[in-house]
Amino acid sequence: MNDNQQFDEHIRSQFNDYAPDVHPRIWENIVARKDKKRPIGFWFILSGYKLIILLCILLGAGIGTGIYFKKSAGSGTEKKPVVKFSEKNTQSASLSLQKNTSPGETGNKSKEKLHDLPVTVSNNDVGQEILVNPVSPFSSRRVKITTHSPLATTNENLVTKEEEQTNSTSFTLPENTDEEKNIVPTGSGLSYRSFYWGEKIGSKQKEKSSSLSFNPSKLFPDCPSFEKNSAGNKKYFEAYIGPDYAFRSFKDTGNSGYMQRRKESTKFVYGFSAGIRYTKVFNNAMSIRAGINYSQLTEKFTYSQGNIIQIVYIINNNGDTIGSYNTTGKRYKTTFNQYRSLDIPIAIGYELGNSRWHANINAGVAVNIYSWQKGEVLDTAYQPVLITTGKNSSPYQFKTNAGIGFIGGVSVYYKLNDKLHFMAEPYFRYNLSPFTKHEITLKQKNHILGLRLGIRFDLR
Amino acid sequence: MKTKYTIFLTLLISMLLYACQKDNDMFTPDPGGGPDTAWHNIISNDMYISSLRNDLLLPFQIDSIKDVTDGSEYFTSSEGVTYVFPRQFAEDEAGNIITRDMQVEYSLLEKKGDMIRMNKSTVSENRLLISEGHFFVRLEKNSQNLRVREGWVIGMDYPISSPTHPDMNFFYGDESNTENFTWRIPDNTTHNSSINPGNNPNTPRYLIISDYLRWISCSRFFDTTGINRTTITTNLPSHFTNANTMAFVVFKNMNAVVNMPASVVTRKFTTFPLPVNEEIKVVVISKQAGGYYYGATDAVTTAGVNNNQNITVNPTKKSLADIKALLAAL
Repeated sequence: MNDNQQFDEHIRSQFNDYAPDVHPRIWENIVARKDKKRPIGFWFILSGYKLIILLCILLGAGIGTGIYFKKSAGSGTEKKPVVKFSEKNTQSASLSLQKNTSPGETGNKSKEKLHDLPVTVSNNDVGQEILVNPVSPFSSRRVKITTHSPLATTNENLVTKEEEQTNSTSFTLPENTDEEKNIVPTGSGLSYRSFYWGEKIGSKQKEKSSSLSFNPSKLFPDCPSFEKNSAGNKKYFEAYIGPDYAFRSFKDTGNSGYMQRRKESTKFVYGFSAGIRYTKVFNNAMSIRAGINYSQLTEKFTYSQGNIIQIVYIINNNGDTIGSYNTTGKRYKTTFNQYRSLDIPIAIGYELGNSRWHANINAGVAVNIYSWQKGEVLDTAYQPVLITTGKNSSPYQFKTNAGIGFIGGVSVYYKLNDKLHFMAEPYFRYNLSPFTKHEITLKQKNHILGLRLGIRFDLR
Repeated sequence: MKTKYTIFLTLLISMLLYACQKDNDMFTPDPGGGPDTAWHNIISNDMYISSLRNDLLLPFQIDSIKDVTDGSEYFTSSEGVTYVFPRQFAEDEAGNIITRDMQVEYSLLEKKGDMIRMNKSTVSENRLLISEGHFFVRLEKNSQNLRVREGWVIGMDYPISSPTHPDMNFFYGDESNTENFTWRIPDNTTHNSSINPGNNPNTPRYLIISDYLRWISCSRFFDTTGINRTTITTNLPSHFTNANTMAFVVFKNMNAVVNMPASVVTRKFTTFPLPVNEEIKVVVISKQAGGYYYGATDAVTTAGVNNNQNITVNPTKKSLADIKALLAAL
């Protein structure tokens, strides 16, 4: 049996009964998933190997997402000695660091176990290689280590390797920089340096160099950081804008020909609203929000009048008027009426979600502060009359305060980063009072169906 | 992230652009419309030309005769003309003698522009006149027109600025054809009207005796003996017709204005033969669809093709006040 085989046998025997602790979070998530309803939909069409493949894909995506979040979040959770080492000609299957008495001292080797993972690290000055013997927690197989020269630029998670397969890289220690001197305790030796640099390359935060114990949670990736509490005493500021559609409702006394002509003369074109609001989500996922909303509806008014006599002027090439005559024809008038309002919407809701997605189901009232209009409508003589606020006083103008309306909607949020969510919110507004004046018998209401798109800022 | 922001911004800009909609108030003419280019044999009161003539009229001066029962009365106008009304000279249309409380309307046209405004050219039965002045006198009482009793006359003492002319004649205005007013010489066997030059050369004047009322002219014929003559015809855009336009030939070197009657056949305004080699100004005034138009072209009368001279005039839009000012400067 050669040396390699002996080494393999040793490692195998060491980890034969090895059973690492399951990370606590894993069990929580398993339980949580178990309590969830079975998803419906397309699962029933999957069977056999298709289901297995799909599950593998989802699991891999989840792990990869978790690893990504864990790295980008930098939340200060447990540090991982995310170092890959390779080794050759090692005689130990443990992960440990060799501690030297002083940096640069060569020749003497000593072994210190990191738990059950001793590693042999050769003394090396800058430029020499580190030999480490990492062991994957997912397998009892040990990993062979070979030495390499290139500098490991990243700290990789420890990877399960096949037996007899060498690991990827070792790295060469960089120079003993001032930063390192400030961090690494004097006299810690080469081992500390290697450990420190292994961390630094892969992590932005320093790890205490004294921790030389093996912690499985440091060695394999944490579970994806599910935002279990979409609720939880959170405050948000939201800004939005979006299109609206108005459902117009007319009422008049008796068989009103005027109402029919008024309806035919106007047609909804488009609307939009924009606003800002503050949302507070409590620990029990209930929410309350209030803000200010501006909305504008545009309506097209058309009017035609026949037997109109108009003077036509004849202009020559020099721009002089050299003649004029009367001509009869038809007049077509098109006016775009605009109805604007400023409201204070107040709503309560319930917020739920996880990871990237939140949803808030809400309902409340919209209190109109002020309304103003511009344009023309038909009067009872079927002639155009100005409705622009402030221009004149006419019974055909609309109220400057439309009262209270009910609002309800479902807000959907997509997390862009820790502070920002993208928001989409279909909503409906039902106005209680007509906004025509009481001087005319015709009553008109506008009910709104809209979609708000915007940004939510986390104020925590 | 960038894609999401781009979509959001595009949506916002689209909404703002769509918001930029303009109101529209459009007139669509009925098919077949256009300027009226028709010429008419008969001019009615609702045509623009009738309205134009009214718009250009000069106001008459007004005075009164209190009582001529036992004696004459007279008054002097602002132009210096003394109007003399003898005792019991007037009667109404029933033949009743009227001596008290008569209203007198009177006017004197000396300038060519005033003659155009009153549409009183210096033409007597297609003969050119040179005028010293046109008079207008009208009497009424209680809205009834009065006339001079047979055998009676009124008098006008008319001082002038230039020497008197021996060929000056008395003309009365024939208003029977409103489209073609002309001056006529009265029949001396039945009328007692005359122009009498004053005796003092230092104060040249004419004493006009008239048994006619309304338009009276102190004019003389332009002698065309041995002088070539030519007709003047205007070239105008097609929308200038006799329904909305009037045209005159104004002589620059004499106090003569010739109206240009309409020829429905040729669709032009044409004069009777006028002496050649005279400096003229062809004046065209029109009223169309609420606007006034004025054009004038200077020319020298020449014997054109077939003794006809075409003169092009291009009227342009002017205000009524501007047209009155231009006529006053003729």
